[in-house]
Amino acid sequence: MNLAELEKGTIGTILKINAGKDLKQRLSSFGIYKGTKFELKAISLGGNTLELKVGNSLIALRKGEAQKIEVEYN
Amino acid sequence: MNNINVALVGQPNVGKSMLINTISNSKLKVGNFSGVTVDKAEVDFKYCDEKSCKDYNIHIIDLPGTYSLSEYTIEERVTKNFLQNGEYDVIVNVIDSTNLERNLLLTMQLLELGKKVVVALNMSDEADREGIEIDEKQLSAILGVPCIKTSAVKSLGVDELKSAIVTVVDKHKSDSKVVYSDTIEEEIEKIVSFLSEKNYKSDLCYEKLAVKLLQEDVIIYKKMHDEPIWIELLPIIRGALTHIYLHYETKDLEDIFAEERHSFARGATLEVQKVKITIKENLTQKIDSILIHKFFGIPIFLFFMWSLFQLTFEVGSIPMNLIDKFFVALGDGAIAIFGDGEIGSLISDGIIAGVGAVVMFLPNIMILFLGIALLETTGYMSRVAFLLDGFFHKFGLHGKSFIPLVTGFGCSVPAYMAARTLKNEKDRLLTLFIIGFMSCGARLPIYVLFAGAFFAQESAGNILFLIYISGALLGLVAAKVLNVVVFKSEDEPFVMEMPKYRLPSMKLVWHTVWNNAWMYLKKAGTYILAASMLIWFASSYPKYPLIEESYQTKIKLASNQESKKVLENEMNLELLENSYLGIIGKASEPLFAPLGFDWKMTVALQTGLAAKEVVVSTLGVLYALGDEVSEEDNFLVEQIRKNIPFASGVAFIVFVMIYLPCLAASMVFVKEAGGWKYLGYLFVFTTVTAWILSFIAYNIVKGFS
Repeated sequence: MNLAELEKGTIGTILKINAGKDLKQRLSSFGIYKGTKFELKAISLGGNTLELKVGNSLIALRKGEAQKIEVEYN
Repeated sequence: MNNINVALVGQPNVGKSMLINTISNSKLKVGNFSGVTVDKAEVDFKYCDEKSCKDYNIHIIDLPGTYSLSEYTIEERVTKNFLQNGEYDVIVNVIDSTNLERNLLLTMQLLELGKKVVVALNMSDEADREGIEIDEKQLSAILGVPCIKTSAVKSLGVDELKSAIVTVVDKHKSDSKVVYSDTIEEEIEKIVSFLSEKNYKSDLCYEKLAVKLLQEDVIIYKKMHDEPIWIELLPIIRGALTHIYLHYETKDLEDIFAEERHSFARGATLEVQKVKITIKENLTQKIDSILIHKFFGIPIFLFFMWSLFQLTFEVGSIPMNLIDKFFVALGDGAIAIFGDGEIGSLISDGIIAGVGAVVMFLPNIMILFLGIALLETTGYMSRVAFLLDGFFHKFGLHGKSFIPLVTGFGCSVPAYMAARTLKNEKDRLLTLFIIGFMSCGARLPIYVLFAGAFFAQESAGNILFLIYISGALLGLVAAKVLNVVVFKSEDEPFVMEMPKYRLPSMKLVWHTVWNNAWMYLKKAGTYILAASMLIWFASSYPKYPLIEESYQTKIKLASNQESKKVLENEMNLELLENSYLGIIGKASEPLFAPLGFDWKMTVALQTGLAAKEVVVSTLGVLYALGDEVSEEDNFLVEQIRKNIPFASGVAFIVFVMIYLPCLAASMVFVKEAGGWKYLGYLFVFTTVTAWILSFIAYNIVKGFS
C-alpha cells in the first residue's frame, strides 16, 4: 500500500520508494528513507497534500509523490 | 594578522542568519551571488584568540540553506558550487540540535569534501527544553571535528565556536572522518594501501580520495584518468565495486551511499543523543492541528491575507499621499527655480515625477514585506503552501504562488518581489508571468472611466467585479497554457519542510524589510529614472515653435478665461499629436484598427506603458480637456461615450486588463526574472494575448449591437 492511501493519524514505516533519482535523493535528504518511521499528521482538503512527521520534523508532500512511497502501518 | 574565510553551511531553518548576527555585531553586507537572485550575506569582524594571543580577521559567508549537496534548487546549486570551487578555510556546519539525525545527513556530505569542518550544535536551548540531550564530546569523537553547543537566541557558545574555528584553521589538515559499513571500509582500505604503496601525491587524503573513487566522482576520475597510476588502479576499483554491488544487491552507487549516510546518521544519533522526555505532541503540532485543519485552515489563512492587504493598501496609502504631495511640491518648486523652459520641464516632469513614482510605492513595499517576512520567519508560509497547493497545482502553479498573485491586485511591483518566496525557478517564472493578469490598483481609474461611460451607474460595480474576476481566471488559464506549451518540463517534486513555529526575531525581520526596500530603491530607481526621462522626451519633442507661437498669440487675444483654456488644450493636443509619442501612436494605428481603436486610444495605451494612471490623463489631453482630469470627470465620461463606439470601449478594457503593467513593474520584473530577455517574452506574451482577446471581444460585441 502507498502513503496516499493512509488515513490521518496513521503510524507506519516506509518500505520502498519507487521514484527517480532526483525525488529519491530529495526525500532522502529530508530523512524519508526505507525503514523510516512516520506519522501521518494531516491531509489537506481533497487529499492533495499531506503532512508527515518524520523523526522530529514535519514534511509536506503532494499526493503524487506520496503515491510513490510504499509503506506498511502498525 | 591572519585572515580566515568561513563558509557557513546548514539546512534551512536551523537559525543560521540568527547565529551570524550573534557571532558578530558588525554590519551584514548583503548582495547577490553572481548571476542568480540568491541572497548572499557576508560579515567581517576581528577576533583575538586568548589561547594563542593572535589577532584574526574573520570573514563569514553565509551560504544558502540546503538539505543536501544536490542540485535541486538554485540555492542548493550555489552552495554546492561554492563549497567545491570557492575559496574558504573552514566550513562551519550549523545544526538544529532538535533534529540531529536529519542534519547529520548533510554533515556527512560536508565531511566527505575533505575540508576543515566545525560543527555548531545550534538551538541547544530549545533542545534542552524538549528534553533532548546531546553528548557533544562523543559526537566530536565520532566525526573527528569539534562540535560546539550554541544558541543564537541566548548567545551561548559563541566564544567557544570562534575559538574552535581558529584552532581548526591553524591545524595542518582536517581530522574529520566518516565511518562507513564494514564492506565499504574494507574496499577503502584496499585502495588506500595501494595508493600509499605507490606513494601517490594527492591534496586530498587517501581515505577521502578512495571514497570519491568509489562514488564515481566525475571530477576525480577526470583528473586521475590521465595519470600513469590509473592503469593499475582501475582493476582495484573495479574489483571493489563488484564486491560492493554484490553486497548491496544494487548497482546504484547513489543509493548505496545514501544508505550509508542514513545508517551512519542513525547510529551516531543513537549513540550521542538521549531523549529524556517524550512529548506526544509539541506546540507546533498543536498549532498545526488548527492552522492546517481540513476545513478551518483556508478561512483562517484568508483572514490573515485580508488583514495584510488592508494594512498594505489602506495604511500604506497614507504615506503614499504624503510622498505624492511632496514630489508634486518639489516639481512645482523646480519649475519656480528653473523656469518653465526645457530644463525646468525635464527636471520637474521628467526626473522628479519619475523618481516620485518610484518612491511612492515604498510604503506598500515595506508593509507587504513586513507581512511576508513575518509569514516566513514564523513558519506559516509553508502551511500556506500546504493548504493551497492542491488548487494551484492544477494550473501548474505552486501553493506559495498565492501570495504574489493576490498582491498583484494591489500593485505588480511588490507582487513581483513577493514571488521570491518561490524557491523553484520554474514555479517562480510561471508566477511572475501571470501576475500582470491580476489587475492592479492603478488600472482601476481606467475601468471606472469606461464602466461609467458605457454602463448604467447601478451595474458599474458589477462590471468592475467582473473585470477583476475574469482577469484572475484568465491568469490561471494562461498559467496552464504556459505550463503545457512553454515549461514542458515535468513537475518538480513537492517535498517541503514545515518548520517549527517560532517567534520572529524583530532584528532579522527589520533587516529583511529594509534590505528589500533599499534594493528596490537602488535598482528600480536608476532604470526608472532613465526610462521616465525617455518618455518625457518622447512626449515633448520634437518642438514646434511655430505652432506654439501661433497658439500663444491666439491665447493672448482670447477674450475670456474659458476660451483661453480651450486654446491651451488644443495646443497641447497638437503638440502631443506631433511629438515622437504621437508619431509612433499614429504609425501603429493600423495595428490597432482591427480592435476598433483610433489613434487617440492607441497613444493612450502606449503612455500607459509608463504608468496606468497616465492613460486617463492622456485621454483627457487627447479629448482636449486638459490633463487635470479624473476618472469621475463627467465631461470626460461624456466625451468618451460620444467618441468611442461601445465595442471599441469593451476591447479597450480587455486590452488594458492584460497588457504589460507599468514601467516600474517591468523593471522590477527584469530583476526578479533574472534577465532582460524575460521582459521581451513577457511583452510579446501579454501583448499578443491582449490583442487576440480584444479582437475577439470587439467582434463579439459588434456582432451583437
